[in-house]
Amino acid sequence: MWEWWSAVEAYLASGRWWVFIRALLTLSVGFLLARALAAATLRFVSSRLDAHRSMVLQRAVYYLVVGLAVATALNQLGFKLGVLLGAAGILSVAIGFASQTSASNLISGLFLVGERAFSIGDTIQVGSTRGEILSVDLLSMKLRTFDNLFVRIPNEILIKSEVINLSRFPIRRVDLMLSIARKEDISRVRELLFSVADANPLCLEEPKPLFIVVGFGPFSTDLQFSVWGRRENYLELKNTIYEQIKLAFDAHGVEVPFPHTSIHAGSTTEPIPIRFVNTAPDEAGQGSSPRGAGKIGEERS
Amino acid sequence: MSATLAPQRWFGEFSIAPGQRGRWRIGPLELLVEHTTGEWRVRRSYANEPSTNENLPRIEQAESAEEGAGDRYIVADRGSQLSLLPLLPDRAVVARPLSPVFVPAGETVRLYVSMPVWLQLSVGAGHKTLTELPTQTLSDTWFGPNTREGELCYALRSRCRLTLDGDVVRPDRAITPVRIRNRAGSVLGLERVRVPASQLSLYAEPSGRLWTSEVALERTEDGQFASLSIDTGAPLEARSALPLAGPRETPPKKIAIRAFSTLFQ
Repeated sequence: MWEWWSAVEAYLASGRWWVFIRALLTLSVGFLLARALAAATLRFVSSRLDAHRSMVLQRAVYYLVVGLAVATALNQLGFKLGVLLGAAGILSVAIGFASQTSASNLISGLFLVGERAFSIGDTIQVGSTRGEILSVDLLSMKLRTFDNLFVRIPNEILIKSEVINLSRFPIRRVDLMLSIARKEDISRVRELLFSVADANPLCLEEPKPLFIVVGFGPFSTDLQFSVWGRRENYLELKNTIYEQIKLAFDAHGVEVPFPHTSIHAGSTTEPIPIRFVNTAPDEAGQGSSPRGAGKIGEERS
Repeated sequence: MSATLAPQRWFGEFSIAPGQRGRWRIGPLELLVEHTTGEWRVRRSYANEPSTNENLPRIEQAESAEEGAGDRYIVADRGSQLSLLPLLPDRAVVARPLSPVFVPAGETVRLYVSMPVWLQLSVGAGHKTLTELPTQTLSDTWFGPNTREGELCYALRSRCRLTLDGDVVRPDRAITPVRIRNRAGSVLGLERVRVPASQLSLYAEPSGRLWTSEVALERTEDGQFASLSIDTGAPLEARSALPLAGPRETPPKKIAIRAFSTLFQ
């Protein structure tokens, strides 16, 4: 115990404690300066650059100033920076091997920032996750999903997988899949759909809506009607136009098909005739026929 | 008790005391502004057919206020002054002629495009803006060479008249004279014309007809580019018109030369 104390006393007496305090002061001032400069950078560039670039620039300034402060402090303590950097190089190789995932995420993060496929505030879809980007960091990206969940996606996954940016372009297409009965006149339905799109103010007049006959289903004629709208109005346009198409179909008697089956005894016969029979309820009350159900044998009307 | 104010105009300054309400019918817009102490309630609805004769405001005693109807604006200013100011649309307007229009090589035409106006409601001596609303809901449209580049505009079907003779004065619409000169060697087909409504000024004639600054579009000799310029002051037909509102966006100071597809399609 006394030996340890005497060592401290000897250190203080040698005057090196002053160097230690100076290094500590340099570090503290460096951190404060880094924060202030980063905040000033953000204020300066936020009106000129987008949120993503502003954040990257702000962090670059912060880490640069902090790095300089640490280097100066180490230099004041008597460390030789050249030797330290060499040691750091060897150390980084060792750490790189030991933490391949983190290194991969880090490199992927740098590529993502450079690629600029998306930026903060964009709405993207990765796999089945869809949400708004909160931040793009060195190791991962943070998303807020529409049901308000916080999702962290490692950068490595973003580099490897398909990412859909839903807010890159200002307009989007809404694809409506519709079915009409086989007997319906396709050109009449086409006109009706175009008039519905024309009446909806959210539906863009240009690019024009797209009408495609997809094919004949088992019971129906399948159609695709695609309309364009502003990105912000996507859901509202989809909801309103489906509702308006339903109303227009009802008003003009366009039949929406339902699954049905015709039974034939053979390829050349008429469909099998069915006659409905009025049945008297069982006196004992144990009849098996429900009320209104028909029985083959007697015509109901 | 009812009174009609400002017989020539539906816009301007009106006095609506607490307990009173004003009713307007401007084109398809039906507007009801009710004043209670410290509060202005604005209700609007759009009819299918525009009104042509009943656009004068009616200031009348309000009946019992319907709870939950309309937007409520709470203001500290207890003044009775309500100001209605017509404005031009906040985006460019793309006019599509009802039938195709062609301008042969070397020709100059002057068309009239009429567009519905927006309305700015402000109250009190300080003219605190309550809201802005269109007199007609216009459909959105995209104007650009492809779906990636371009701008969102309002779509308008226009007759693109060459003369205004016999035209009924619509109080809810402003008329823009568009001068088009085709200096290229081929026929210019006007499928759609972009009118930069947000960069135009609005003027009112004493009769109540609204005008905007004149727009000049010129297709260059090579046909690849087109120039856009906006005249200052009221158009020739309305020299007596008074300025009502300036442009929402700063118009280009000189003639703006752009790719042909950004002005015509």
